[in-house]
Amino acid sequence: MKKIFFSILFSTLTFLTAQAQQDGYAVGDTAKDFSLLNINGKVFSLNQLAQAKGYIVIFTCNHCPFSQAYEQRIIDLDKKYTPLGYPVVAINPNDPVAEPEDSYPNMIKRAKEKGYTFPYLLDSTQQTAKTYGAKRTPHVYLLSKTAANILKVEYIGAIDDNFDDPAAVKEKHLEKAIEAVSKGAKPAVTVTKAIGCGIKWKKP
Amino acid sequence: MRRVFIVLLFVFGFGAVQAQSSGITEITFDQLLQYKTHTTDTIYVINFWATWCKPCVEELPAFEKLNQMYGGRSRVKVLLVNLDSKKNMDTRILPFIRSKELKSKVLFTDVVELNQRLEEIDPAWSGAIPATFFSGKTAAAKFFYEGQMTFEELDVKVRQLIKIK
Repeated sequence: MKKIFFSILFSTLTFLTAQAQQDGYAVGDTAKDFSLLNINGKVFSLNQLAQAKGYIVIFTCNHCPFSQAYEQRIIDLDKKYTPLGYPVVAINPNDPVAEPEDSYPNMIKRAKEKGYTFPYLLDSTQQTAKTYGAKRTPHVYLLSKTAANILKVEYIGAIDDNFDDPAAVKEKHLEKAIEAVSKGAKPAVTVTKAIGCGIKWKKP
Repeated sequence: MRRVFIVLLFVFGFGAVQAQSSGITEITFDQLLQYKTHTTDTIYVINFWATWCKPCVEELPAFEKLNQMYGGRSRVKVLLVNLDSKKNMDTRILPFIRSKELKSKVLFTDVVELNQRLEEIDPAWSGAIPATFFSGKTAAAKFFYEGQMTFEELDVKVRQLIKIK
């Protein structure tokens, strides 16, 4: 009986701690730069792209069908917006133990196969995902950069409103946000939500 | 004679349940939302999952166990809302339901439509799955959880919600 009581108490407690996880950035917050291992074997930080006006930071990965559905759109976004000052920076936050397809060697392989034009970084400690508040893949953070090199969160959410069919997209949420920010305006829509693959956190 | 009838009823009744459970019912977002806004004494345990989602598939047996434990005429009803792409209905979703012999009620809803109105399920939902929404009659008897759950966690929650009027 006592055992049952403690097991119930314990699961209730783990439940509560899981709920109390910090929520990361909100729109308008100042974002932190990071130093993460890129697929080229070098450590990458946002400040290395010094000429950028902002960054499209996308938490994504290899295995997730939603990430895969958006893969070509992410490549296209980078091609379109890097020349305009908003390059894509992709981060894989998943624990490769939980999801071997998202291991560092597999990241290198996939980026090569699909012709990624942007950095694809490994968040091996998962600290960047936690700091930003990423919960799923894909999960986008649009950052702008001030003259004083301060990063500001402008938009959080989905790339557009139809993962399944690029031809059926009605609202290109992210592109609209970039257009607004590049004109110095606040995006009309700053937060969207969408079903995605929960980030595979390391087991404590 | 009466006994035979009852046995037959049982066999056929069971058969019907079996047939139903190996299928899937497609519902609109509004129909899905009715499980949140309902005013009955039922406690719906609504799990959002997909065949490709590893932690979702891992936790399905816990929901099946819950369904088996409470099932039948109990106040607790388990609903497994599938969020695969509809184009995979015949190639992935239905074969998966059959091979796992899922006994809980499986629903299907369109993710693109769901994405527009995710907030209406629960504002705390980031969109990550697995996610589970517990829906009793009153606001106090509703609870949302994003992440994987064990059978013990589900059972504790359900027992707690049953007590809330």
